[in-house]
Amino acid sequence: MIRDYLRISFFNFKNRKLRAFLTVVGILIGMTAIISLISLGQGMKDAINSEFESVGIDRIIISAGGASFGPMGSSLAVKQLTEDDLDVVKKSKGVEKAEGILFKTAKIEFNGKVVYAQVGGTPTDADSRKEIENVGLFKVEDGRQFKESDKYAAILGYSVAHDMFKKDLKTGEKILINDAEFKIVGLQRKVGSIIHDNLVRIPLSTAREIFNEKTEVSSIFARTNPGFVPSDVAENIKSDLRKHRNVKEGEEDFSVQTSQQLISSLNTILTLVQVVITGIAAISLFVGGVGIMNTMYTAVTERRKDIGIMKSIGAKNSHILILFLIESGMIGIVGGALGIILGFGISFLVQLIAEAYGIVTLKASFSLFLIGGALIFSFLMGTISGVTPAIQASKLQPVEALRKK
Amino acid sequence: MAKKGAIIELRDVWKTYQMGATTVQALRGISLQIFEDEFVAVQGPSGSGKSTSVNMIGCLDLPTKGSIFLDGKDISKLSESELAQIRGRRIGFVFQQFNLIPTLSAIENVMLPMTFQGVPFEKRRERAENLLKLVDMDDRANHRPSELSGGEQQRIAIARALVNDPEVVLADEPTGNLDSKTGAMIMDFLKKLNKEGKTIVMVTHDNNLARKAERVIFLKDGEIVKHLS
Ligand SMILES: Nc1ncnc2c1ncn2[C@@H]1O[C@H](COP(=O)(O)OP(=O)(O)O)[C@@H](O)[C@H]1O
Ligand SMILES: [Mg+2]
Repeated sequence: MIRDYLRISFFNFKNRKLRAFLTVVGILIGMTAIISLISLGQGMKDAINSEFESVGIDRIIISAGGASFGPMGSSLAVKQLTEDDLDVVKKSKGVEKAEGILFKTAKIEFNGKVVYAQVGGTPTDADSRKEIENVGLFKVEDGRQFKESDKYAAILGYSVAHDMFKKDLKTGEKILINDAEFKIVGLQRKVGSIIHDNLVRIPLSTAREIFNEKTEVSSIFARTNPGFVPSDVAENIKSDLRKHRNVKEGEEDFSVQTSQQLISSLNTILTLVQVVITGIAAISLFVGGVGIMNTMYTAVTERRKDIGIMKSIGAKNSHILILFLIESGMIGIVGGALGIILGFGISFLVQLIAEAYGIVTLKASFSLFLIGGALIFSFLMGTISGVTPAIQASKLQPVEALRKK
Repeated sequence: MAKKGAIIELRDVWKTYQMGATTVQALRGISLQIFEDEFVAVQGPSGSGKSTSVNMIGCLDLPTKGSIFLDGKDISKLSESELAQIRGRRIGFVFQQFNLIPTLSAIENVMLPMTFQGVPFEKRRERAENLLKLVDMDDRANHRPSELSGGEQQRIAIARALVNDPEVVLADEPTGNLDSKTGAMIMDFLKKLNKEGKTIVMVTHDNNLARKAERVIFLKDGEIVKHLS
């Protein structure tokens, strides 16, 4: 039976391709948004989680200026952090360890080719080295980490070593940083973070010399004592730094963020994006539903005579009802199917772009379950939109329907 | 003549249509009986209520006043789906405008009444093919109605009317849109069907065609004015 209904409905659908397509657009956009959202959403969460798993959740980042997301915020207008601030942080209650890193953009030269990249001066005393080397983002895949005796030694981020210059850089080769010669001692593995893959690490003391910065630190990275709650420790640091830098509460010229806060602010952004896309999807689906309803009302008017004919040869109201419901469901399913294709296309594109930018963890997920669910959903969507027109069609009086208008 | 009980009886049937502010009295107290195996012609000027009467006989329309009996039972007690069943199984309609579904092929049109009776596909296909052969249209099975001549479309329509093997065939001016030669051919076919046992009620303007019927009912202004047998 269903097959016959499909034949009768589908014929009608085929005869009105353009209108059917226009009708389908709303559902198509809505399903595209939903599919890309769902298939990328998991990937985004995975990406964020894996990023922070490698940092650790017991970290606190202190930077100069207002709240910012990373260690890049070293603008001229703000009062910089110094070694003194670092000492204050180290003494704050609950802080286990803390290091200051000096970030500067510098001229990097190799074989006559010049690029500009972030250089991070990291402390090389035994304690600090251990802290830094434990962070997944700074793992070395070739060569070694710093030794205390290193002076003009550099460890390159993956992209610096492999993408920035014509040839891949190797350990033992020499590069110039702000015209000073450095020996490459280590190459970091690819970590999928733009910041860390594009970073050149050198010893902090050397950085102070070549950048002529006596006391500045761009960011302070603290690790909390396991016995303390990171957010409490962050409050302690805040209060100590306020006292030290002589600023009132609420007027801080520095920011203290726990890695949990970073995760949650990223998650907030992600949620916001999801809400916006879900909103767009909901609106498109609603518009699409109204469009289907409108098209179906038109179809009922156009097929009045057919309805009369079918009733005269034995069609019950329920037959007519099902016929129109299947037809509107078909419109929904066609829109949904196109939306699924487009949605997965977009997800795949985003994945490719993410890979091109080194965010390898952003994988789009493709599941049959999602496809099946989306198809059923769009069929129901179409069917529901067609309910009132279908009821109208089924209730037409046969004699009325047969009369020419 | 027919002494058996009437298959269909209209008893003092009135039909009023509301057209905006004006009411149209399409039927004013029609009473008639249709007996098994007979061939009845309905004549009358345009607008006299012929189609309305035939639609009542075919359970396609219900009276404003009066009753319709099918096998002696009042159909006003029947539900919409029971009436649809009667139309589908016991009645075959043939219209002046052929009324084929334009988006379906000839054979699909013929199969459609069986679809509504839940007949399985293979059986429908076989039966539709047989009927297309009967009306000599088997070579046009996959054509759309728009690709067929009026006479051919009417033959498809007759095949469709017969496909569920109904007792009564109601033909509302079946030759009205056809040239006289094609019309005569359709008429002969209906006559042949009648001989094979089908009850036929045919609306026609054509006196020559009406003369071939056993009984002629004349309508005027919604009333039966003459009854010849
Ligand atoms: N559905 C309808 N709505 C309004 N008026 C109708 C309707 N059907 C028939 N009529 C009117 O009823 C009268 C009889 O119609 P009909 O039975 O079609 O006549 P005939 O078939 O003899 O030409 C006509 O005046 C016609 O205009
Ligand atoms: Mg008429």
